Amino acid sequence: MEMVFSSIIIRPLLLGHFMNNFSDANQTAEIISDMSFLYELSLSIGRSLDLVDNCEKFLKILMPRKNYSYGAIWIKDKYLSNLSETENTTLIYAKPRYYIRDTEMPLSHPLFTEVAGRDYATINSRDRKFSSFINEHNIKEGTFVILPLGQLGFLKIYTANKDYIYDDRTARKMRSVLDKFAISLEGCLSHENLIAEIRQRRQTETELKKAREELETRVQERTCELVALNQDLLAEVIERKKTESSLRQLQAQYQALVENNPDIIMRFDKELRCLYANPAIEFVTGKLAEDVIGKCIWDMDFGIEKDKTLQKHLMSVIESGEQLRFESEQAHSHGVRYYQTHFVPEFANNRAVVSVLGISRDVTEHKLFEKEIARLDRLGVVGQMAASIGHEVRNPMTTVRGYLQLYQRRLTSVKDRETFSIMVEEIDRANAIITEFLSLARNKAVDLKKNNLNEIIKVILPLIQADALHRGNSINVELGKIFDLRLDEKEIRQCILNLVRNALEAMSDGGVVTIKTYIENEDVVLSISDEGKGIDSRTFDRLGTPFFTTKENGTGLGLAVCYSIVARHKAKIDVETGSSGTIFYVRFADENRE
Amino acid sequence: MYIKHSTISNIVKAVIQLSVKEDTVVLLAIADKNKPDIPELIRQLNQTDVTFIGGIFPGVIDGNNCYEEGTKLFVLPVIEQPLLVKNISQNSFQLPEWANSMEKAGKKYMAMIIIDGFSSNISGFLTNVFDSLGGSVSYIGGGAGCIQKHQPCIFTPEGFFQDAAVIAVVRSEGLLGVGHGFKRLAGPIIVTRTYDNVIAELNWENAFTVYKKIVERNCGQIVTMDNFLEFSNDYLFILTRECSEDVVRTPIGVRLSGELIFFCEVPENTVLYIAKGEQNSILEAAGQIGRGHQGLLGESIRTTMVFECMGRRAILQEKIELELATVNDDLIKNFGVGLAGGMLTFGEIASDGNGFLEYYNKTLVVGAFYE
Repeated sequence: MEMVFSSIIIRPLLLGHFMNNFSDANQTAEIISDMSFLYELSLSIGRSLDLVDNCEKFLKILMPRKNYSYGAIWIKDKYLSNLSETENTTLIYAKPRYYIRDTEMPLSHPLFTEVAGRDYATINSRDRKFSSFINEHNIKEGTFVILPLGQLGFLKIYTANKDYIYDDRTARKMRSVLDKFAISLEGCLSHENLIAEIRQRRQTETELKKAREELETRVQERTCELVALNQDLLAEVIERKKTESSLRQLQAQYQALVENNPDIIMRFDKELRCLYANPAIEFVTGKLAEDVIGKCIWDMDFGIEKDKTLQKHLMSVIESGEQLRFESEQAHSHGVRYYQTHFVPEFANNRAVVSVLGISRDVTEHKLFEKEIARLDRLGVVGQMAASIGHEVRNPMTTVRGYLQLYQRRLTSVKDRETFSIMVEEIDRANAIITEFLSLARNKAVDLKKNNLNEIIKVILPLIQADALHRGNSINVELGKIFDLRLDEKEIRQCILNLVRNALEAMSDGGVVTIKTYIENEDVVLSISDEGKGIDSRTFDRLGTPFFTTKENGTGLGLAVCYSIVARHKAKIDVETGSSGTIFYVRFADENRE
Repeated sequence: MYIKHSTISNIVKAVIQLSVKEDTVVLLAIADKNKPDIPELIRQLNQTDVTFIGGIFPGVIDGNNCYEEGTKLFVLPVIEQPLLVKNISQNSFQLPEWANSMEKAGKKYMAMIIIDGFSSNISGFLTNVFDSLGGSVSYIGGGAGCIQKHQPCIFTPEGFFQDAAVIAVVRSEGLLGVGHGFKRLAGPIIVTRTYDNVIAELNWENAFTVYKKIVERNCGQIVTMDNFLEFSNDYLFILTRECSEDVVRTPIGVRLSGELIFFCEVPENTVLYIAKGEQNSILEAAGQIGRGHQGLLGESIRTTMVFECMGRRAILQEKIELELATVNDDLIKNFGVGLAGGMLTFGEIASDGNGFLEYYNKTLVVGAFYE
């Protein structure tokens, strides 16, 4: 078959292609042409599962072959996965882009109503309804052909040729291809829906995974935070335990301090009720702390006067909010004790006094020490006086004594001689007194040498025993094993003689003076005890004061000399006295040890 | 204006002498043979105030004379500055939306497209252009190039390019005539396997085997891969179209595997025919193009232009001027205006915008530009 396709002038020179009277050859050519067209078209269908790609491939064959100017595929929204809720139709694909105007339209659009229930609809620009079919740019005249695509939507074709005919025969030729195309579109849509579903599922899975990961991350972060918090807490607990332990320790330490403190520590509330008292109170009041705690001050039974004084001072502190110090004394079976009390107000946050802390210290020793110091001071003054007076008085006395002895020898009268003897003895006595005075001097030189106290006692023991015997008393000696000391023998001997003589003089006949030596707390102790009636408190306070004596013929220097000697040996005299007697202790400190 | 010797000075001088207006473009069709140094020509033309576009073609036409050398100048009033599109084979270009400015004009102007005829993806490019401009314009144009090898062949003030196209929308309406005159020899034949611009199988057999069988039966000679080109210019393929000119596809080579190579893509499953060109029938096509224009526009014709396929010249040889004379005579007879000129091309473009924009081979395209 040969056929000449000479030339075609495209606009407006198109030559009619279809003729009314086909020759057999032409008919065959037309059938072959149709077949080849339908073959090409049908093979273009379904070559892609992508909706747009499928449409593009289909129109790419259809439009050049039929020389259509524009082709558009519209699908009802209910078949589109992302638009299934709307009642519109959406433009899925169109070529060329140049004509595209509307991309969606309602199902009530004439394009739908016109083709409903028909194989095709065609309308050209000669028809008045043509304009209502236009939903593109730049189309004014020509022919539209609307071809249903099953139930999915339709294919809209435009050609500028307003004489274009799309007849029933053409429609029948196209029907199977269009049905196939519609089915392929359904396949694409199903595929897209599937893809969308898979994508959605994947997205959901991804989001779920992401959410899970985020959750996991958050859990991990939270766990880390909790672990860190826990560690902090643990550290805090450990720290707190440590602090508590320290506090307990401190508390125990403070409690030990307070509980074992010899000072009386008490706390009173504003109603003067005892909130706390440490065990030291027992020593002062003879009452247990637990018996005192919870009681008011006036129920403590310290004595009416004492209670009143305490009440007055406490009220003063509570009212003024200022600290208060005062001293008081308390009689005990073993003597009077002196106390210095310090009341300290304790405040609440509003600066109001809520309680008062009271600390009472036994200052008896301090008081005694003060007295001792005073005594020593006095002794010192006396010693200095003695040192200066001694020299000045002794010289004239020696002169007087010499002359007295000279004149005594010249006397013939016995009576006069006796008188002169008395005068000489009295001068000697005065001289002895001066000597003792001089020994009171603090700065008197001592000759310290290695000596054993027991040996010194043994040397002077016969003298002492003779003296005791003379007085109708006896001496009991208990010498312990002691170490040697650095001692001035003469002075120690004098000290022992003075103490023993005092002891003998304190007793009536038949009394026993006991001399002991022993070691106590690494000190060498010399004790001399008598069985006298003891020393009253007034006398006790003045012991060692020069010229203080209770004896009729005493000089009041014996004990003072003892104190002076002991001080020069850096030793110490303690006295215990009672109704059964008195004991003098001379304690030689370890530093005297040879 | 035709410039016999394509020296730079001749061309520049001629362009200046045209004294073109501001909204006018000078199209320079330069014959490949003895062409000047194009970059230098561009440099010198850029020193004038003239806007220009141009291409290198295997030949240029002045009146009804065809030349292998020289330069033909066309003055084209344009509505927009010409658009240069580079790297068309990469299909990554973006064309501007011209449709609005076309619509405002209220007339259907002529878009002239000069394209590198050896680029791949010419069909893709034209589809893209048609997608953007649609039926707002008519289209005319052709493929530039040098017969020896693929090299730069499109130029504008921006430079000298390969794999490019330039589009100028001419401020004139136009009439188009398209014809080839090839006769169907055998078919239908189904293209059963293709890729890009290669046909691997025809009727489920090796493409070359099928082609060889048909051609040998017709011409009585042995066709081999070595002498393939001696036959391919005469025996080519056509794709049938309703209501428009059939599209010709010329094989330009054969691979050892028997695959046939074309200028343009041929879609798989396309039904086509093998056609043969005879001088007489081809000449006859030219006559029919002219006749279509009869009595339509009279004196309003501004200019006329022809895009003549290089392959037709190979068939017609010296008779090509007879073909051009036929066109010229018809144009004079119908419009009182002769054929201004044109160029020999590697592929032709013609569409009134109401159908698909095709890239033709072995085709004669005549355009009459009118006010």
